[in-house]
Amino acid sequence: MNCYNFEENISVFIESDLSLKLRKEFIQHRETCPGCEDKLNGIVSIINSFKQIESVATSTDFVKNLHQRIDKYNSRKEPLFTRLLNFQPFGLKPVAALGFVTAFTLLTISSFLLFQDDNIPKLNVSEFSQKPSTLSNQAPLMVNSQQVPAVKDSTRKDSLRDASSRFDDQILMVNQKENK
Amino acid sequence: MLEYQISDEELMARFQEGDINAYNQIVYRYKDKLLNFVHRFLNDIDRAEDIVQDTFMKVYTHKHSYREIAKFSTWLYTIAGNLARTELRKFKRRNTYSLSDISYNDKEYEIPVIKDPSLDLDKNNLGKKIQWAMNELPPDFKTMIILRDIQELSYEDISRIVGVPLGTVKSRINRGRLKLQNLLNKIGGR
Repeated sequence: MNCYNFEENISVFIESDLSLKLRKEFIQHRETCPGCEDKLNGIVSIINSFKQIESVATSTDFVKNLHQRIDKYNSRKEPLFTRLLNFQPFGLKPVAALGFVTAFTLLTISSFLLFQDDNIPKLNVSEFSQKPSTLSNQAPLMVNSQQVPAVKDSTRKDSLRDASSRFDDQILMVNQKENK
Repeated sequence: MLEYQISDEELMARFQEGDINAYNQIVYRYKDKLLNFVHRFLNDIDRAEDIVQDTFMKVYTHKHSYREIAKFSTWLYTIAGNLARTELRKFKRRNTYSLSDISYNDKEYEIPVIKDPSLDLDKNNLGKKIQWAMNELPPDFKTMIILRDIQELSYEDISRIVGVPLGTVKSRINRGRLKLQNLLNKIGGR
């Protein structure tokens, strides 16, 4: 062990925390190096001196003063922000209450918007039912409103008009054949 | 070390539930220990007592910050140590002129922190010499030496209080003691 290692291990040696092997080397070095032995003795005497230093005690008013400060602290008016944080509507904590209100508001707004958007097609049955009535003594064209596909008004009207004219042509052809 | 029937942690738990008597017991247990710790750190009994009061006020106002994952004494010493370090910094700032306050014609120097005048009159007083030497140590070394050699806390507790690894604590305490010895040798303290 050299002087540097000796110095590094002084406190560990005093605390009896040095391994057996290092302890032997430490003691061997101390016996051969008077400077290092002085250092060790110096530190031991400093540690012992700490124990001789008179300890101090708090003043007799210490506890009384502390309680005065505590009373003052307890009687102070809480700032507005703290009071708002402690406000508990319906027994809910502020964060939970805020979350509840936000969720409720979002639900209401989204429901309102959903029912406002009316894109369901309306079926004009009166216009549709006029065509088959022109056919005399023929089986009425049975068109159930439920069979009509849900398409836009203009498209639906065109397709119905085409279908009804094709049907009229077919009836005319049958009538002509019968007359012949 | 005194052994109490009710542990500090149990007292703190009672205080957290609103038992003010438990708080008072904590105060009685620690007021003098903390004063010695802070006094060695600041070397001013009045300011040290104020810091100890502030520490107990912090315990009162932040009682729910304590969780029973650490020893109560560790938590308490951490609060006191932080307050003492802040106070020391303020004190040093008050007693040191900033270079920016001195005009270019003035001699640029800093006025050092005023030492205890009684030290010069009574150099043979070992306690005062040690206190003087302690004040010359960097704050980190000083805190650790006070906690180990005066408060007699374990290395593990010191490591938790100052928030540095155990190995660093051991080496700083050793180096601190060596520095202290050099300082005392300079003024003929031994």
